[in-house]
This record gives sequence, C-alpha cells and structure tokens, in this order.
Amino acid sequence: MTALLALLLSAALAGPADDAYQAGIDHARAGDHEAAAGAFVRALEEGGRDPAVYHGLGNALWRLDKLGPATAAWRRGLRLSPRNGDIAANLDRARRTSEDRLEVPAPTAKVFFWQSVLSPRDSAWLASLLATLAFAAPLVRRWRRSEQRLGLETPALLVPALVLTASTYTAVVNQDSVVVVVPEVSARSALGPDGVELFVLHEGAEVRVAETHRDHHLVLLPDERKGWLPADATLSTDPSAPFPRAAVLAEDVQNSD
Amino acid sequence: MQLLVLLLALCSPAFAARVQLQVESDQLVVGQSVALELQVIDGRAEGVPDLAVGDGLALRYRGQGQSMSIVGMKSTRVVRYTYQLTALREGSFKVGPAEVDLGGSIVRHPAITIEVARSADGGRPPAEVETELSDRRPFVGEVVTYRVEFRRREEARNIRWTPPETPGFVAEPSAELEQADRSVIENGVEEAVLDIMLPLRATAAGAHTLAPAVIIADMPAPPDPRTGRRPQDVFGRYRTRTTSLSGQPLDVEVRPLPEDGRPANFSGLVGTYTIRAESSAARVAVGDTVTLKVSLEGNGVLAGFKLPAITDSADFRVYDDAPVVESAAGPGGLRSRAVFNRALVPLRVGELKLPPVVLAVFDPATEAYVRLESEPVHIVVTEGQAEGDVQSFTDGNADSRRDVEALGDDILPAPGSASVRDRTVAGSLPFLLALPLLPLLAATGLGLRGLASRRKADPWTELSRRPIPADPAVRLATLESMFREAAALKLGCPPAAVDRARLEPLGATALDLYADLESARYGGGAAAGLVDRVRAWIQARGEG
Repeated sequence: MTALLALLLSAALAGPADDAYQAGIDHARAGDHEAAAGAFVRALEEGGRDPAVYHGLGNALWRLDKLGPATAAWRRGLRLSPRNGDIAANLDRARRTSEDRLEVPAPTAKVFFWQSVLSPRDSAWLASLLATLAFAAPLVRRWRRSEQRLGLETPALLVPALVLTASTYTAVVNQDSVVVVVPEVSARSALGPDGVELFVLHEGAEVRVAETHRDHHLVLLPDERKGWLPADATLSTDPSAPFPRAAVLAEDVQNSD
Repeated sequence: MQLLVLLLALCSPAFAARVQLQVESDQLVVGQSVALELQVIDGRAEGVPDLAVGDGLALRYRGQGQSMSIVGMKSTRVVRYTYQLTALREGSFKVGPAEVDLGGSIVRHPAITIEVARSADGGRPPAEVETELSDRRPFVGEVVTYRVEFRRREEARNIRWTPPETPGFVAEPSAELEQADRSVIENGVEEAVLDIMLPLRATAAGAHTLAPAVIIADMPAPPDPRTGRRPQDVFGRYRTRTTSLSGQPLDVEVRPLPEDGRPANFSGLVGTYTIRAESSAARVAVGDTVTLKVSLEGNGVLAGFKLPAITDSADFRVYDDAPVVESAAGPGGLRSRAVFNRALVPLRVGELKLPPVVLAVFDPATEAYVRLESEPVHIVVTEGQAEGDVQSFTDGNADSRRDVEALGDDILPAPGSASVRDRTVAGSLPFLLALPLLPLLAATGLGLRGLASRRKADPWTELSRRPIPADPAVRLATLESMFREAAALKLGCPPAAVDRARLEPLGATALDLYADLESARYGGGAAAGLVDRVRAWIQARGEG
C-alpha cells in the first residue's frame, strides 16, 4: 500500500521532470546537444535524478566534447543503476580516452560485495522491506494465536536489514569522488597557489575525495598520493548533488533555457 | 663415552672478560660430529671468533646466543658461539688456539686436542652419512644434484638435516627438494637409507669446497659399559641420544662456459634439451584462433626463460600466453619442462607457414653449443570455414550469410522513453522509513486495545448510568436491583444478602429507600420519586 502510494506520489511529482527529459531526448535526436544538455539538467532540477537522465546528459556532453562532465554524469548514473550496461559501456569508453591512467575508485566497500549490482536505493528498499517483515512477524504470530510472541524470524530478518542499512549508509555517505572537468589541474600540497605542485590531473580523471575545505578537495590517488584540488575544477559523482549548469553549458544556452 | 671436557682459559686476572671452550667429546670416531661451544664471559667479541682446526677435522659455525645471570649482586653475561665439529679421518688433531678480540684486547685460548679413531666394529658405525655431487666439474649455469645418503642399522627418529654451505652454487628454487626412503641388505644386515637430492645451479667459476651436509637424528643411546645394557627410562623404553652426522666436504671445480663457438643468439640455457612445436589444428578459418604449442624439455633450468618473440605480420597476429614450467629433482637429476602457448589468428586465406623455433643452448654432455630447432608448422587457412565443419555442396541451399561487420564504435544511446523519478535514497527516504513503521503502528494499536480491554469500569459509574426501563413493573425491579447492588458495594457483601439490619450503618436515607422499595414491591406504597431518589443516592455513592 505504501509502495503504491509512493509510486503514485512520485508519478505525480515527476511530471515536469518527465517533460524535460523527453525534451532532452528530442533535442538530442535533432542533433542539438547543447539544448539537450540544458533540458536534461532541467530534468534533474525538477527532481528527476534518474539514471536515464544522467545517461542522456552524459551523452549530450560527450557530443559537446566535454569529457569530464560527461564522465561525471555517467558515473552518477551508474551509481544509481549499477547494473546498467549501457552507461557502464559509455563510461568505460570515456575512461579510455582520459589522459591519466588511474584505477577507478572502487564505488563499494569490499565487505558489501552486493553494491556492485545493487544501487543504494535498492539496498535501502530491501532493508526497509526486511525490517517491515521483521516487525510484522510478531503480529502474524499473535494473529495465529501462537504461544511465542517472538520467534527466530524476527532477528533473522532484522540482522540482514541492519547490514543492508549499513551498506546503504556507506554507499551514500562514505564514497565521495570527483571527476576533473578542466583540461588540466595541479594538485598541491596546501590550499591555494602556495602549495607545492605534487602532480597534475587531466580532464576525465576520477579520484576519491578524502576531505573538503574552503572550496578545495583533498583528493586521494590509488597509490595513496594526496593533493589539494580547487573544487571548481571538479564535479562530484554524487547523484544527489546539483549538476551545475555553468560547468557544462554555454552562456547562451543557459539564458535561453 | 659421554665425557664433557671443559677447558678453561683464563685471561689475566686484571681483566674481567674470560673465554671458555667446551666440546661435547674429545674422542671421536670418523664421521662423527659433535657440538663445540666458545663462551665469551663478560665481554663482547668483534664478529664471530675464528677457530683453527686440524686437517682431519671440519668446523662449521652454527649460530650464537647469550644469557645473563645475577649471583650475589654480580651480573654475568655469557655469549655462546656454537660450532659443529666433524671428524674426517683417523688421527690426533688440535682445535685452536683461539684468539678472541674483546674490544681491543686479544684474549688467547690454548688449543685442545681431539683424538679421532676408527669405529669399534671395524669402521662401520651404526649410522653414517655419505655426500656426493652428480658432477664435480660442472659448467656455470649447469644444474647438478647434491645427494645426501643417510644409512643406519639402528632405528633413527626425528631425522632432520642442515643443507650444506655451497659457495659457487645456489639451490635451484624452481625444483623442490626430493627425499626417498629405501632399504638395502649388506653382509646380511638390513640398513635403512634416506636419500636427499638437492638441485644446485653453478653460478661462479672456480674451485670451491662444499661443506658437508649434516644429519641430526635421535638414535638409541649406547650400552652402559659397566652393565652392557642399553639405558632405559622409567617406562622401560630405550633412551635416545641426539646424534649429529655429517658427510665429507666436496671439492668442486666450476668451469666457465667456453667463449669459442658461442653463437650470437645464445639463449643462456645450459643443459641437454629437446624442443617440439605443434598446432592445435591443421585447418582454421580466417579470424579464428589456433594455438601453437612449443614444448621445451631437458635437465637444466627453464624457470623464467622466454621464447624468442614472434611479431605480428600481414598473415597473422600472435598473442603469447604465460608459459607453464614444471621442474622436479630425482635420482637421475633435474628434469624441467616448459610449455609455451601462442594464440595465432590467421588473417589471410591460404597456407600459413610458421617458421621453426630456433634456440642456441650449451650442452654440458658434449661440452659444446648446440642449435635446437623445432619442426616448421603448416596451417591451412580457409575462408570462414573452420576445421571440422561439414561443407555442403547442395545447390542453392548453402548458408551464405556472414557475420555483421563492425565498422565503428560509439557511445550507447539513452532510453527514448522513460518515467523519470528521483531514484536517490534521499528521494525515497520518507517511504523507506514509513514502511517499517506500519507494523510498529499496528502493534502499538493492538497493545493499546489490549490495555483498554483489561481496564475495569467504575461500578458506581456503571450503576448511575444504567438505563431505567419505562415499564413500571420492570422499572421497579431494576431500581431495587440497582439499590441492592449499590448497598452491596458499600457493605462489601453480595446483593442478595442486603436486608434492613445490614443497612442500618448506612444511615436513614438508605433505610427509607429500602422501606419504600419494599412497600412499592408489595403494593403498599407508590413508586413515584423512587427513580430520582435511588439515582441521587447512587450518585452520592451511598452517602447521606
């Protein structure tokens, strides 16, 4: 009942996002990729943080030769839908064209191996469902006039629910990474230009964020090297974060949109 | 004879540091090994002290340890250097003198004499160790087998061995140590034999001496000379004694590889090898894969060896796989085998001739460089028809379709129509939290309902709210019942037990009501006003 209500409410709330997405698809098919990118960003702003929207946005940005933003968009889409092979293929293609050979930050904690196939939302729904069944089990026992009000099924359901909740929390909170969206940026040992230049990253490089401070990210390379990057040279791969229009669109498109 | 000989060399009394030399026994038989310990007391030696031994003895450093003791407020520090002393031949030989450098001052120790004799049974001790090398004049890079033979006529337990020091050689890591047990009968006596085969690769040219390997085993203790019986423990078992035995040191000359005749493409392999090449299929379709298997086998080392590379050509592409190398040491020496698999993808129709694999190796058996060459491999490359397929010549019905050719590669499109929703966790959070709350709310409701059902109503309130029927006869009975129940509540007795006498403590109002109800029931009085009076009395909870 609640799920049905959720679907109805979502459908009611996502109307403008649907329209914007469809407009983006139409623009893309007409070859107007700047307008398509604008429409997809609008769909996101309307609440349509959907893998399909990020997929379309990544495609439009790729056509506009914006490797970094396209990578970020596809990466967001893949985090929402880890089993989406089309987005994974596009992302793989983008990574192959990137100048920096970096091991992709693992989006999952190793102990939560299912995160490679379950999105955080999937695991959250599964946890919610298991918790519901765990709490409903004593009611069923009461209804069946069982002598024992609490059985083994409640902890048996509650434990995986808690594990899945931890998995979801880890996936949402602890896995922050960014994609470089400028042609070249230097990672320095301190904030600002005073720090020693440690290494250079190029557009499309995806790195894990260890810390954020004063518009700078402390990024972590797979070989444990660290350095500060200006935040405006990167885009987050968190699908809940806003997708800044300024980073991806020309001014005239922003104005006309 | 189990004598512990203690020889003490004291330095000048002015110095606290001392040196002691202890040997397990000063009377040995040929082949016997004993422990020798050099103790440095209250001093620190510069490095491991050197001890000179006679040419009939072999000394080998085994390690060091130290201990600290405190007696009578005086601490003593002892550093022990342990050696293994082996008797090589009959005679009288000296150990030492030792000169130990104790931080600038040299402490000398007089030599001790060791008597070596043949064993009492005519030179055949109950256990002995023989060592031998398969080739005393190997070439650099050649693999030889160091063989240790442990023969014993008595039971030996807990057998372990110490590998020899092998200057000019390294133990070949790609082959495992081989051990084998057997038994032989010599002069009617059965002997147990343990063979240990250690593959060694010669690495440095020149003359070297391989120190003997040492076998350590728990052997039966010798009979007591007074009783002639073997000593036993409290459980009646023969006592054992840890015995060290070593073989002979081996003099070896490692020869360098000859410069004359060395080919430019010398592979570095030293040994006797054979090479063989074959393909997994004689016919293959264009674009399909065929595996070229090259097997190299011999008595030398193959670990880490790489075949000469084949580059891609217009006729084929080639992909090398990691080789599979197997090595094993045995009585016949080291046997190695390496299999190299190369995946070939033919690009043209016709006959594909793969050139033979050619290697130059050095063969120690002939002491010359040898050219190894595999047979050339011929593969027939067909057009889209793999080997084993049945060709059909029926007219017009043959399947002439072809695979769809890929001309390019691009990103994959987004879905054309999709119901777009917020699929983040944050977007679904209210519903994710609400779902498990449903059974909790239901449980809470059921709990409250249960509490409510168990709650008892106030009987005075229930009585005051009881409806009064309109029918006069029924109404009178109801009023009397209400009065009796209320009086019973007040008195703490059953309603049927209420009578005038019991009502007296409740006062005049109760007595009057009782009398009026009685008279109304029996027709002697009117029931008018009784309803209000009974209700008022009940609402006052029987007071007044």
